[in-house]
Amino acid sequence: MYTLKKLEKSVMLDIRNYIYSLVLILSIISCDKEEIIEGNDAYEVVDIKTPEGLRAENGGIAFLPDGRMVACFHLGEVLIYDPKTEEWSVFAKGLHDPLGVYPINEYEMLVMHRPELTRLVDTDKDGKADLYQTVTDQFGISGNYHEYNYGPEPDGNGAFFISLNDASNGAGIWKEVRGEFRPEGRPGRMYSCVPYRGWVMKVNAENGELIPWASGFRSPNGIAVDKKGGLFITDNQGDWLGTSKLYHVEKGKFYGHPSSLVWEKGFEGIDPLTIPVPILDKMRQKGSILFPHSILANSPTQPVFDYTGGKFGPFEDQMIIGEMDHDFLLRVMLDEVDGETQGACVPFVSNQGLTKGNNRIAWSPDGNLYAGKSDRGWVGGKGLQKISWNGKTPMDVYEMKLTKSGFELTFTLPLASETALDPLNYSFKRYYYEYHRKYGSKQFDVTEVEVKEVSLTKDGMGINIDLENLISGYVYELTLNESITSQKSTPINNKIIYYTLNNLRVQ
Amino acid sequence: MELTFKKATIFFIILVVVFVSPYATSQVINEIQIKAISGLKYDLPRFAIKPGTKVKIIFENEDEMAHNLVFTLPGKREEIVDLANNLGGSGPSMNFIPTSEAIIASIKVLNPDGKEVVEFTAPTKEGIYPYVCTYPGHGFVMYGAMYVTTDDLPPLSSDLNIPESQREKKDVSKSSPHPYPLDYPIIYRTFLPDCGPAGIAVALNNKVSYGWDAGKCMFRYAWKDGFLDNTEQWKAKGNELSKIVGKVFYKPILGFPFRINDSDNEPKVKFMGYNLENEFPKFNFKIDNVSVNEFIQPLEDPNEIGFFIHFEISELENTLIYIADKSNDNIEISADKGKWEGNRLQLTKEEGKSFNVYFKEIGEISHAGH
Repeated sequence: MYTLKKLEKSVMLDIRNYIYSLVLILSIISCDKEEIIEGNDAYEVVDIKTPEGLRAENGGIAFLPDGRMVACFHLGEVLIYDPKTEEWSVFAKGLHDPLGVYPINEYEMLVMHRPELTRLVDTDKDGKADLYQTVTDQFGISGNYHEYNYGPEPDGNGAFFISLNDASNGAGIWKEVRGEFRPEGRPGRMYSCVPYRGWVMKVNAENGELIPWASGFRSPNGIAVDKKGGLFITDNQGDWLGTSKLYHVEKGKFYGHPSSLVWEKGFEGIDPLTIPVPILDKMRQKGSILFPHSILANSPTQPVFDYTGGKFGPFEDQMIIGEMDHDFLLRVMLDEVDGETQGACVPFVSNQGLTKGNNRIAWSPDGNLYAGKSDRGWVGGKGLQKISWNGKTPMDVYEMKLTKSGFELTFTLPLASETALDPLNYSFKRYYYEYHRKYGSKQFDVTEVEVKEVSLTKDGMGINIDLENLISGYVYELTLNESITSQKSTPINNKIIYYTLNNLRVQ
Repeated sequence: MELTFKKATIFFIILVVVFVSPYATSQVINEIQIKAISGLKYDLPRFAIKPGTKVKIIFENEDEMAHNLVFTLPGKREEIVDLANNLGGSGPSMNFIPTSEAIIASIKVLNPDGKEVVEFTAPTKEGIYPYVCTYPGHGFVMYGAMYVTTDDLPPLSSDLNIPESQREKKDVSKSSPHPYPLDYPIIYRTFLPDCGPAGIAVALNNKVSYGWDAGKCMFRYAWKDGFLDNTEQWKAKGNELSKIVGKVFYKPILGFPFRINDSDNEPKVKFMGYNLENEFPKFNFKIDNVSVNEFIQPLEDPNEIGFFIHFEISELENTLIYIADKSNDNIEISADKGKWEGNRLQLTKEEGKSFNVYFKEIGEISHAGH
């Protein structure tokens, strides 16, 4: 199925391959359909051997077009790894807690660390950077440990996004800070007393120009841009975040953590914590995906999109996100409703040997997903792992789309229809997380939702579920009975799916 | 770390003994305080009580995240942690405490700053009863041991019933913390004492190191006989400063050292970065439109304590003043160009293009060959 789709695409994309593809298609059809191998153990995870002496707390990974990996680590190293030879070399050192790296080419890399976004240049091409050029340091640092900086993530048009953590009241600030100090930004559990803490910024890497892009973040440790230029950022449960979230971020908007408003035009001199919560609630943009806390995620990290063209299994175009506290990743099924992004989420690559602390994930050019681990005194891990698809198709919910009366689910494999059509095999509940200053939130108004009717979709790959009563502002948690299987009896891999319903589908 | 152990010992010794009832036979309550602290730890790695005695646990959460406290039967910690991890959607409402006969007491999930007390009677059977945070992900590292015993406890350093991080450790090895040998010069961007938060520490050689402030674009101080201890700064969240190892011998306190174009105001600066020349960093920054290269190098005589700065300044339109702090009699400061007026070195536009300033400690020259 996927092979065919892919081939169809390539026919359209590349006329030169037309005949070749045709021959291939014919050969696939003639040899009585290629067998799809089913199996929920569809991924293989192997450890990457890190060099002796390295404290392998990973801050960033990225790949050069030739397949070599660039990785930065907690004690300031930027190293290059060649998967072919399994050898490591040193590109740069002495940086302050680098948490993101982006190679422009093998001689020039951008790295985000505590003090600045730095361009590392190997001017004499001996394999080591000899120029550490400041791209931008036009944001504040108070000395508070929690002011981590993330990025740079290319925006698709030559510029980059970076994001700036709030400070934490787990510690104070220093006598000397960099950047303007505003005392009204000092109160709160997470605070923003120096410029643009809690903001996402756009950087012009050529001239260093820094544009405040969006505000309201707490700990935005994950930036991704999709094919169309859409910006997505993860944020971590805590004060003002009842649970961890993925935001679809648009310029000029506010995403809910008030401390950053200290640096918003027109808010000068206002302690944002004095703004009434209902007003903040109206001002804010909601999370596109809510990750139920400590069930799916405690600290979501790097999102990536699967643009591997099928090299990584059946989830092409979907989003995968790293997570610190669990030994799985997250797979996000985005759904556009009324022009807004929302959608569903499930664990990904569970029980396949993946360890915790997946702070960074990145694609190698050959379509494998590498994971870099960290813990930093919280839950997590160390080291690096490579995740590869082994060709099997797991039995999973492929997409979950909101309909006017419920949800449409499609699956990666044809469904065994008898169990799939029994409404008793689906149980729904809904709950919400409260927006408040307090740290985290329990699940409020946990309510079972009655399933009225289940019907197969036309192609047999999916079902429509009609619910008794759909309301917005809730997470809908769907539990599939384990009797739901593929036609070949492969059990459903992830039985629980979490859909964030911000908007009802009207049309 | 050391503090934690001391605290633990103190708690262990000061088991507050309260006689509850004159009728009960030697009925005492052992009051134990356990705090959840930063780094997925209980501050108390272990404690001991006698079999069958009453125990009152006062649990406080001083960390930034939520934690619970669960006492289990001997050897059941991992099993309970697994059960808790597999509670799925019902985990939060159950405080991540599974239903199990292997649990002898528990305190629900406490948010930061929360406090709860639980009282129970210690088992009559001697043994090592683990206590653990079953909040998902925490239980593998966040635990301790309740010794129900009348015997002495094993040494803390070899007690496998407490997390490795809470056993006493030997000295950190002196070897390189990186996957390469440490050769001079050594550069670290880090948090330094008495410096802005964009600090750069450089060891020129095994004698002389200096701190440079990339926020203020200026030299902050130089020290001798050591470099940095980054242990605390590199630990966990990075809250602590790097520690200066050795003795600071030059620390100017006169602010930004340049005055340009006949103005006596501190100019605005912008840090542009540095390039490496023979591995030494040459800092580049801007004072308005004026571009400054500041290159700090060791003195030629390897036995002398000190350094020199080579400045290159372009786009200078007028005279230049460089300010050094000459208040310390032990430091001899000289320049190869310009005229000193007290702390101020006056340079013409031409001289300002390239000049050196030398900083040398006098009176404490260590002689070679002794």
